[in-house]
Amino acid sequence: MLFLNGTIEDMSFYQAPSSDRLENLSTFDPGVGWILSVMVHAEPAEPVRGTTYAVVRLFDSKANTHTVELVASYVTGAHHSAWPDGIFEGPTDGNGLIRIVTGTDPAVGNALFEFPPENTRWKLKGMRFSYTTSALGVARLVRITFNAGTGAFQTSPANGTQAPGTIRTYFLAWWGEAPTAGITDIFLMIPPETILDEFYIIASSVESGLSGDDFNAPLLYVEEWLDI
Amino acid sequence: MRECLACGGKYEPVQGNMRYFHVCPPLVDPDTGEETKRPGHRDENLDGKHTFVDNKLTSDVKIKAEGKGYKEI
Repeated sequence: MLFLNGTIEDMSFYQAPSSDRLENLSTFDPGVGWILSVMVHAEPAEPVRGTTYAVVRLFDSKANTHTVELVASYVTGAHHSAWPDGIFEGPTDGNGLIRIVTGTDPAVGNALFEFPPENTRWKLKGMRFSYTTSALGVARLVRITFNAGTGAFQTSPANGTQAPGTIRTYFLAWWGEAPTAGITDIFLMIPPETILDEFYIIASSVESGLSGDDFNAPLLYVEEWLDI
Repeated sequence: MRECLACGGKYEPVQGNMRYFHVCPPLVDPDTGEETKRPGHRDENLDGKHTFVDNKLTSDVKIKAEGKGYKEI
């Protein structure tokens, strides 16, 4: 910062961001002068891409309005957000965070039911779960459906049925040549680039399912962005 | 590990330093397919934002639906 008296000073402002994907808004008064450069970096943690997104704007407190955006990008251990000569990107631009999420293990008789969390965008790349059928009834057909609160807009039936009194593992992947269902493994295919935000639900439905049937906790293989 | 007292689902609330936000599955009418929130429906997602002025925090963050709550297992 270059001040009116001609001196140049480095200034630092600190903030411990929350880990709940919610916005953390901070205001700092740097004084009167010219901003020569701005850098946002994380310490001591080194966040990975997709987890910590920083925006720095100048705010005119007299006019009560933002005037200039200086920084807008993810901050990682390998990349500091900076002005000038930094990268401008939206939170859903570029590559996201690759992670495996363990969902809820539903009680017996309940469906799988998973959301991207608040302020999150997921690209669902795969999913695995097991299903145990009671000894009663007839063969079950498991489906995974995608629902935006107005009914299913996409449903993916398994490529094989499951007999009563058995345990099977289901694998969900992008459309392609589905492997032949095996003795223990059954496959479901979904459209590539299945993008979901916090309003989209991933759920199961089972044809001929009975109340004694049981899903285990699903593993969701996702690419994740903050969506704020 | 937690167990939801509304739906009986079990889940890990923190996974590799990332939080998991449990939401109860709805009840589905077997005849019509109509979905309704179950009694005590829990939604652990959060609303609000954290605001710092001169490093002083104010926060209006709250859980979307406490519902019946949970127990540690």
